Amino acid sequence: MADIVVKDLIKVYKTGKSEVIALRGLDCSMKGNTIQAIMGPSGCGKTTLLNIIGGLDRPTAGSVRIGDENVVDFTDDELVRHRRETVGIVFQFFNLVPTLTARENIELPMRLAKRDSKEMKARTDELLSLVGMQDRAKHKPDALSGGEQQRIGLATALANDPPILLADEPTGELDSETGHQILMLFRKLRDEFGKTVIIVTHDQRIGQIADSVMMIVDGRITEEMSGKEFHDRNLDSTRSRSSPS
Amino acid sequence: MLSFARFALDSIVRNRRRTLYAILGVTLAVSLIAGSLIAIDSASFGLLRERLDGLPVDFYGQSYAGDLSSIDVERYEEVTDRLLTVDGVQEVSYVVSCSGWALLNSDGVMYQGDPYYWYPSGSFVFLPSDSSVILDRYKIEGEAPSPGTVAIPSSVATALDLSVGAPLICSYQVSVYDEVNFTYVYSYVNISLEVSQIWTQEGVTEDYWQWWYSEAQGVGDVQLGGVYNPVVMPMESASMVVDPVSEVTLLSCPETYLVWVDRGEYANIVNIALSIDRLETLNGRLERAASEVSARFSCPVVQVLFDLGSDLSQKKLAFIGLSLPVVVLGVYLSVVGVEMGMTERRREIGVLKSRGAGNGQIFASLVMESMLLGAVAGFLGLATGFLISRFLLVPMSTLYESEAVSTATTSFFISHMTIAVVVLFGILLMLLSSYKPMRRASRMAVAEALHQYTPKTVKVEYRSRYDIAALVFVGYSIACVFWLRQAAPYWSGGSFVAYLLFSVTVIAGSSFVPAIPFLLSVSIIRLVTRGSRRLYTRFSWIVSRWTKELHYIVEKNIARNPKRASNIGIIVSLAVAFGLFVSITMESELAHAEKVVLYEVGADIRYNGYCRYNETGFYDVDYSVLGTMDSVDGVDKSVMVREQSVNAEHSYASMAIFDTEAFADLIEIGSGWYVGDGSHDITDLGENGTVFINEDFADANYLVVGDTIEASMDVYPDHDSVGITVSAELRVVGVLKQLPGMSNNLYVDSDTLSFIEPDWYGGYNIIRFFVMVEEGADPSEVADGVLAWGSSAGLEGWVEVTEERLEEAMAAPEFRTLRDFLYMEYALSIVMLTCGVGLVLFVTVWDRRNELACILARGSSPEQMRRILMGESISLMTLGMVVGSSAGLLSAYLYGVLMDGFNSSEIPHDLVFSWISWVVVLSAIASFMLASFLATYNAGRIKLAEALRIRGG
Ligand SMILES: Nc1ncnc2c1ncn2[C@@H]1O[C@H](COP(=O)(O)OP(=O)(O)OP(=O)(O)O)[C@@H](O)[C@H]1O
Ligand SMILES: [Mg+2]
Repeated sequence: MADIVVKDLIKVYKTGKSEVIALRGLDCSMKGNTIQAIMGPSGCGKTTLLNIIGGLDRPTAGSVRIGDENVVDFTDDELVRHRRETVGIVFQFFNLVPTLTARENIELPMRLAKRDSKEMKARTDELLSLVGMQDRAKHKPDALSGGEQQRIGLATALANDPPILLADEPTGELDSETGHQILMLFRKLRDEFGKTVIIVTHDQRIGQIADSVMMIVDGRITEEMSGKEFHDRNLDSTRSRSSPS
Repeated sequence: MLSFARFALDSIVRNRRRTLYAILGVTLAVSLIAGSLIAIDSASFGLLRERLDGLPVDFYGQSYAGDLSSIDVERYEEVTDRLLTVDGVQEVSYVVSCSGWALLNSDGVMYQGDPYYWYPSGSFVFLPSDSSVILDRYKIEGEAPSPGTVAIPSSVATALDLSVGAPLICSYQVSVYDEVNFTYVYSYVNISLEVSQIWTQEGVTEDYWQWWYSEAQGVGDVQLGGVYNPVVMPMESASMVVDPVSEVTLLSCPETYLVWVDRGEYANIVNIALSIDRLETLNGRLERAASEVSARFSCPVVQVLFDLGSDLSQKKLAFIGLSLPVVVLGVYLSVVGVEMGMTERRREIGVLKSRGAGNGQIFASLVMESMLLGAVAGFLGLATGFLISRFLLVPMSTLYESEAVSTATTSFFISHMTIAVVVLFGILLMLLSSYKPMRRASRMAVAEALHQYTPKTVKVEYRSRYDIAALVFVGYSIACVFWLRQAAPYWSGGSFVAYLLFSVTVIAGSSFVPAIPFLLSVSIIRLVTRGSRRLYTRFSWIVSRWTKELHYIVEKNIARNPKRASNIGIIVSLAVAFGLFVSITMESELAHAEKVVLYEVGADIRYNGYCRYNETGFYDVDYSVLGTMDSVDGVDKSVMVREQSVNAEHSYASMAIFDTEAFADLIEIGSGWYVGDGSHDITDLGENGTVFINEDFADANYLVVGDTIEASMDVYPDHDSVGITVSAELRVVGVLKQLPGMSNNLYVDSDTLSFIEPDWYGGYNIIRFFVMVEEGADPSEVADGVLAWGSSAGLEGWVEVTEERLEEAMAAPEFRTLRDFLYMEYALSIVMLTCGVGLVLFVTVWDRRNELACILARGSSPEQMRRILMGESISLMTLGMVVGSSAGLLSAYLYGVLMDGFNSSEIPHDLVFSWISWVVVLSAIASFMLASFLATYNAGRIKLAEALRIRGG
């Protein structure tokens, strides 16, 4: 799977007269078929980065290469195709369409991509069983628990079988047990389906599954380490402070 | 509490978008009120101006104090000076007149004011030395005559063939009773005067009650000082008339004082009662000032105001009634707008409360805010109402009838009352429509308010009870209409109380017809969209071909916020229903009115001919010409009707003798014209010896169908004054109310009376012709041809032309005002529809940004997004259109049924679906599409990153 190479990414938000620089020349590269964790203090620009990679936002300057395409140069139509086929996004607040049932939410990206209905049905069933939600398919989001909603969110993100999965604090709203299950799903996706997963999170357990962990401070990468390193260091600091975060 | 009220102001200023939603509805509703009030005021102001324009003088006082021998300029001047001292008087002048003169030219031809009567109609009018104000105010075209000469109206000059410099001979007949011979002895005073001025005058009349005079004023006619077509002379030369007359007789010589005031101040349309009061007081004071000559003053301006006042209050009521539908639409919109703002601020209120604000404080600040908003909306509405009333009227009225200048557009008037009413109305409306949401919002539990942060389907409680009740009521109302139409006129049994109860309930029920569009629109759409979701889901298939793979989202939309969905449907439905109801009803009434005129005249043209007498004392008609009417240019068909006075059932009756077959072919005579079971037809008269009689004649003589009557009349076979009496036995075959253009007692076919030769008829009979003109021919020109043809046949006649009558009716200022008003209403309801739908859709999109962003993030293209949104709104619009147009058509139909019941049904009401109704429907669709396109256009361009960040209010 193609690597993602981010070069010199700058994002400036203009609100009225003031400017907020969210990303200040961020460089990084992420290997295909890995789980890449992004961590950092609140407001450091994690969501901004993810949005740019996901084609939800455009940077002020810089490039984001996926294989030999530059996302930054995409036209609006190409961005639509990018969102539809290349990336799947898992949101912290699930962002499911409230009027549609779980099954219909999963179908949505496929419908948007104009898949034929037989294929769509088979794929939906497959995804439902992947996330273990076969028996809740007919429920609407507000009848589902947070963890269940997030699983549907994950299935929705996977609908068009995108090679890249972007997750912005997917476990932020969940209790630790449910969060753990979701993380295990991500691992399964990398291992069995060959997905590239980029996860923004504060969840320290990420070290158990991530191939690499990047730290962003103030719009720049300040540190990068392997998942194992992060896990070990985390254990140390937890022990030394003897207080779980 | 007060310091907290600052919050209200801040809230308005800081949340401009929300402020806009809240006031948009009120502003629009208010702008209609403002627009109507301005239009009504302007129209009445225009009417007042138009009518006052025709009045040359504000007060005129007449005194019969002196006679011709005592013309006394000093006295006149003295009275004038005294009148000038009365408060408010601006100018005073006077004229003196003397009537009873015959006017002749040097060849002895006499001027006759009226061709049918012989009487000397000339009068002298003596002008004061400074007559400029009179000539000016009376819009006289011409100068004051120089001393020793006279000015005459050009109509007199034409009649007597006089030009400037020619002598005019004025002759007064003095009669003295000779008691010896018991006879009058006549002598004449003849004065020859030089004509130095020939005058014309622009349509004016001194007497408001003779307004028709100024409209129908003949070319060259002049009215001055209470005298029609005067011979005008300077006062200083009065002796030229006075001296010769004084030798033989005394002539009365009334003096007329003319008084002008500041009309702008005294004739105030805003307070007509006060204006009349002030003018009447002034009238009294003028009489008091002129008490020396005991002049009686009258004030034509009072008549104008009085007439307009009663007219105006009726009209205002009618207009307010007519504008109610659109006000209802506006109120509905404002409620929707306010509610939308309130839902949006639930979170804000929750935050305030969590910081310690009490329910009362919140409520007070909301009330304060809504009053401020109401005032703002009032002023804005005033401004837009003004713009709307100005700019929409001009193109619309010219579109209809290019040369017609609308009274409402040519004059502009806005009163303080209007401003006050409109602003107060804005505040009231704002308070009314926000009271409930405000109370609910201020009492909301804090936790609940703060809770919402993920999009949720809105669950608004809905009870179908009210809607079902409304439908039942509509059904009752419809039933009442038909009862009233069919059962009520034949009600016979039961006591008076039962009858009273019956009629009160039925009349009350059917008087709700105008409310039907509202009730139906609201209840059906609420039932369909909120009562059962399945119905709407089924309904939305109409857009499925277009929304294709995404249709399932459209189907589900209703579940998300059914209230909002039904609001869109209701707004569309209301606009269409009222637009159609009003336009169809108006156009049908108009078409009916046209028919009424046509049937009154009886054909395109009715020619009424009288016989001229020749020297032998017998009338002088060329019988060979009478049958050739159809050869006149432009005549398609014609029927001759002889009106003959006959003796039947021991009394005189008028009989119409005509070719019944041809008449039935000329104009359609529906069953409404006949009395009885409706099996009669005028062509039944084809059977010899039959007669139709009218209702009055039947009642007066206790006649029923099958009776035989004997009718006799005098005819003159020898063409002299010695006639013979012929008679005919006639069997009554039917009773009728009257026939189009004819109201006689007896109607017979000419074949029945064929034994009377055409040239035997004599006496004072009328020969009428009913004429239909050829397609494309100008009826007025054809009428001229018919007139000429009539006199070639030896008839003295006049014509009535249906089209001319119609034009006259349409040119009436009242009619034009009403029409303008309706156009404004159509336009406004379309504007409201656009704004309302745009507002709701825009808010919907805004509210759903998060949800829409989700769909976009999942890979939807902007175009797909728009398809979803347009699909949703189009299915709502179609629902609204279907319900609205059926409700509009139904109510228009019911209204027609009701009107048929109230008016005589000789000419039935047909529903007319004219181009205006098409314009209403099509522009509703167009504006809806525009609004939904504009509102959804941005949806495709939502900033995803931002929209997805937002998780709460
Ligand atoms: N639409 C916007 N307008 C203005 N500033 C913005 C906007 N979006 C983000 N920012 C600013 O950019 C910076 C980075 O925001 P971002 O959402 O990427 O942070 P984050 O790392 O995801 O934080 P968190 O962990 O709290 O989610 C912040 O300072 C934020 O205030
Ligand atoms: Mg973030």
